[in-house]
Amino acid sequence: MVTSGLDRLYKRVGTSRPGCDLDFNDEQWQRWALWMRLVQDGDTEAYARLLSEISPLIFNYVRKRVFNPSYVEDIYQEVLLSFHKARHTYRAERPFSPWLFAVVRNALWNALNKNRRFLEKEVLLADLPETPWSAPEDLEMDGRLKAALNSLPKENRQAVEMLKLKDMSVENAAKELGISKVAFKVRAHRGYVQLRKFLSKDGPHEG
Amino acid sequence: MRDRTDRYLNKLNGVQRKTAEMLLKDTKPYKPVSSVLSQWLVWMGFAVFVVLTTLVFIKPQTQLMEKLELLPNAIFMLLVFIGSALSAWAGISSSMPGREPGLTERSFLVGLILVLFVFPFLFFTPDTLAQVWAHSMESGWFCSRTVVLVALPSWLLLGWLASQNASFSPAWTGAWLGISAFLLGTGTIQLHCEHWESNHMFVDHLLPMVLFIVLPIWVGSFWFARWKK
Repeated sequence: MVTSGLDRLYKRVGTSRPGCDLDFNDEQWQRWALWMRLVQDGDTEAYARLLSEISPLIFNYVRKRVFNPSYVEDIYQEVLLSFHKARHTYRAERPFSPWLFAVVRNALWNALNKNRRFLEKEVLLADLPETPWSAPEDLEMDGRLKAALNSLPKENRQAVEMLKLKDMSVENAAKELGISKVAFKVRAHRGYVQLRKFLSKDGPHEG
Repeated sequence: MRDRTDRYLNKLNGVQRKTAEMLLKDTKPYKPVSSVLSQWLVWMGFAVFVVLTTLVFIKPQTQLMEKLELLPNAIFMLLVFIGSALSAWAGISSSMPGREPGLTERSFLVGLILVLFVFPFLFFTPDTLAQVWAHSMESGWFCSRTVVLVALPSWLLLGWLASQNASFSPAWTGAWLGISAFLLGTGTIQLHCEHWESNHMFVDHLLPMVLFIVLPIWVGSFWFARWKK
C-alpha cells in the first residue's frame, strides 16, 4: 500500500469524524478496493457498503474546506457525483486511496471554483439597489426592468422571479420546479448575467 | 435488494443518504479504462504508423543518415520525438485521476519544449528571414502544412483515448496532447526537409505548434470535460 500525503490527510479528516472508529489500515483500503471491483461488476450491495463508509469521510472533507455552510451539501453532492462518474477510471491493480483522493480533491476544487464565480456574480447583482425588486407592483413602474425581465428566456426569468420577487428560498423554488438546487442556481445565475447585460447596455435609469 | 442496501445506508445522514440512493440507481456493470501505459502504447504504435506512412509519400531526405551523424542534429531529433512521447504520456495521465503529472514532470516537459525552441538557434546554420519567406512561398508552406497534417490524426487518436478517461483539467490535457501531436509533425517533417537552418526550422517546423496550440486547448476544454455531463 502506498502511503502518500493524501493518505495522511485522509487519516486526519477521517479520525475527526464524530462517533466513528476508523482505522485507515491496509485492510480497510483493501476492502474498499475490493468493493470497487465488485461495483465494476454491477454489485449494488457492494456499492451501498462502499458509499456508506466513504460518504461521511467525503462529507467531512468537503465541510472542512467550504466555509459557507449553505453550500456544503450542494458541493458534497457534486463531489460524490464526480466520484460516481469517474469510477470507471479506477483500476483494480492500483491502490485505491490515491485515486479516491485525486477525484475528491479535484472535484472539490472544480466545484469551489464554479461556486466562487457564482457567488461573485451574486454579490454584483446585490449592488443594484435602485432596482425595485421587492414587489411586483413596483415592477410595473419600471418599464426598463420589466423589459429586461421579459427579454430573459422563460427558465431564467422564472428562476429570477421566484427568488427575487416571490422571495422564495432556493430549496423551495427548486422543489417546485422539480429540479436540483444546483440546476436552479445555474438558471438564476444565467438570468442575473443577462439582466445585468441588458440593464448596462440600456444605459442609466432615467425614471 | 432495497432492504439489503438500506441496512448500510441507514447510518448516513440526510443528504449523504439521498445522494447515495441516487447513485445506487445507476449500478450497471462497466468496464474500467485501460491503463495509461496501454493507452500510450496504442498511441505509440499509431504514431509510428503515421510517421512511416507520411514518409512513404513525402520521402525522407537523401542525406538523412549523414545529417544524423552530427551530434546536435541527432540530439535535436531525439528531443523532438522524446518530447512528443512524453507529452502524450502527460496528456493521457492528466486525464486519469491520481496519475496527473506533478509539478516536477510538468516543469521538465516545459523546459524540454523551451530547449527545443532555442536549440536551432544555438546549433544550426543561421538563415535570413527573407530566405525563409522565399522558401515557404516557393513550396506553398509545405513544411508547415505537413506538420499540421501529421499532427491531426495523432491528436484525434490521443483525444479519443483521453475522452474515455476522466480529466479534471481538460484544458491542460488538451495542451499536452496538442504539443505531442505537433511535435510528432515537427519530427516527421524534419526527416524529410533538407533545410536544417535555424530560422526555417523555427518558422516552418516549430511555429505551427505555437500558432495552433490554442485549438487543442480550446477543443480539449470541452471534449475532455464531457464525462462530467
